[in-house]
Amino acid sequence: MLKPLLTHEMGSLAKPGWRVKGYAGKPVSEADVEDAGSWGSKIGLDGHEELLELLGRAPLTSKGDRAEVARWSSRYGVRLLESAGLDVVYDGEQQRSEMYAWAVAHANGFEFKGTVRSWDNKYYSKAAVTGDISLGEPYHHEEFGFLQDVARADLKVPITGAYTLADWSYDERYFADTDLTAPLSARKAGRKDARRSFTLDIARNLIRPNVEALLGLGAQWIQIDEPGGSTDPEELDLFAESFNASVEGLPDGFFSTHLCFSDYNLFFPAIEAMTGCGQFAVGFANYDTRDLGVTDETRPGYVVIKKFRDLPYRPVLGLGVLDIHTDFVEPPELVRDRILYAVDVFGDPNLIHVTPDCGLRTRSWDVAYAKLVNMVEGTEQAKKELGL
Amino acid sequence: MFHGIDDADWKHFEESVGIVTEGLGATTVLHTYFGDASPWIERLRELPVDAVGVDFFETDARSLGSGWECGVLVGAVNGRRSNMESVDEIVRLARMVGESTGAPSVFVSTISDLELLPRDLAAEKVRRLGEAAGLLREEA
Repeated sequence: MLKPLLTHEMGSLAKPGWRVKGYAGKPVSEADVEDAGSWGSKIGLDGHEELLELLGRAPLTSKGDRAEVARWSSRYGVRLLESAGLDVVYDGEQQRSEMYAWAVAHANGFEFKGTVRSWDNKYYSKAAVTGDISLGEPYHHEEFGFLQDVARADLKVPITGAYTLADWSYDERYFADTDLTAPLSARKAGRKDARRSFTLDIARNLIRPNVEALLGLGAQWIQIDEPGGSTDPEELDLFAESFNASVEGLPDGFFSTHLCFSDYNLFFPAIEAMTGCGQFAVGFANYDTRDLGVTDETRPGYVVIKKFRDLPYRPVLGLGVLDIHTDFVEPPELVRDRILYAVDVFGDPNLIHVTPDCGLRTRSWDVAYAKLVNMVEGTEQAKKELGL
Repeated sequence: MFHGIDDADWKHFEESVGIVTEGLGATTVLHTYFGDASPWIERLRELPVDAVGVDFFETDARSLGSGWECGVLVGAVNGRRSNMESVDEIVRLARMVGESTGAPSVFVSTISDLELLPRDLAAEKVRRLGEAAGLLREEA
């Protein structure tokens, strides 16, 4: 994975209207079908007329037809990313439900408790751990096998990490902590022990066997997403420990993690222990200016990367250069300067990968595509500048 | 409260609470949650409110001192956890806090909002609170 300025995406893309409605067995509008046709042509997806024919029969009543719509959405996701020029791709997570529920639904030891709010008007199905944790069935197996046949570029599999799964679950197994008359110090110690056991059980008994299954299928790069990683600054050691427990000693894999929208200073020194991690993919553009330039003053969002450079091991930095919270399409020159700043700090372009800040699912495909095309163009400009 | 409050800000905080509560003619409770209230409890007790609410998931029930002249709201039911507090646990906590503080009035409540729980779990927690309050009223 030491290709200089390798480009890749971070996971999710928006699900198009035809995917959502078609999969749900609902009517699909003419505009949705036109959208599928237009994108199929734009990204050069062979055989996409089959999808149009399928959508023409909507609402789809058979489970097989609805699953085929999801598989088509996967093909679109892969080809969209390849067409934008990325070196490493996935499918925009088009076949998955949601990053928490998908993993937990394939695990033993959890019970879904109901729907709760995550942020704004977004809700998710939240589960409690109630028993011994184990892998029910490999939950990216079918998806990855399918994408191996579809993709021309190399694949990177995004999966949800142990710490985030623990943080987003209720604990009804390890420590109830309902007797609030007990001394707080004892309860806090119990909570800490319970949290560690819970998180590491997920790492060892759920994430690790799922990763092993992916490796067995031929996966080479697995990205462990940890959006919950910085929720509790006092648990960053546990976050690092759980990553290592998930992958340590596994053969022939490249393992990375994705962090986003945090004060990244908090991760130090905890991630000094995270030696199993070959790449930290981190969102920085969200904190940066849109001015051109390669100084600390013009690149305030990237000043913290010096801390990643100074880790006691040599992970690659996945450099987030696209702000996924805005429709602003970063010009190639801005992407170029963000890369040049990072290469100057690291002193080695092999240690910089170029990525969006996070998954692009909150952007339309039009905006996501324009951003990614410019990201690739900006990377080319940086390579030229560096004589690569 | 979770991140603490600067000493310099306390005066403004105290004044703002006074502005909000003055002349209301209603029972006023200042509820603190998602953090340990004990470092500020002496000051909180002096605020112009009828009762101060405490998150006992994060605050030691032994840390509140005695001789309270204002009421205490006992945050006894966790709005972020699905584990069910028993009626007995709620009653014992409220009794313990009431006895140790000597507060003239004791309220029992949730630690925080209940929006981080599914509706049926939240409803069951509220039902248990009601049952606990009924038992405590009988004791009083």
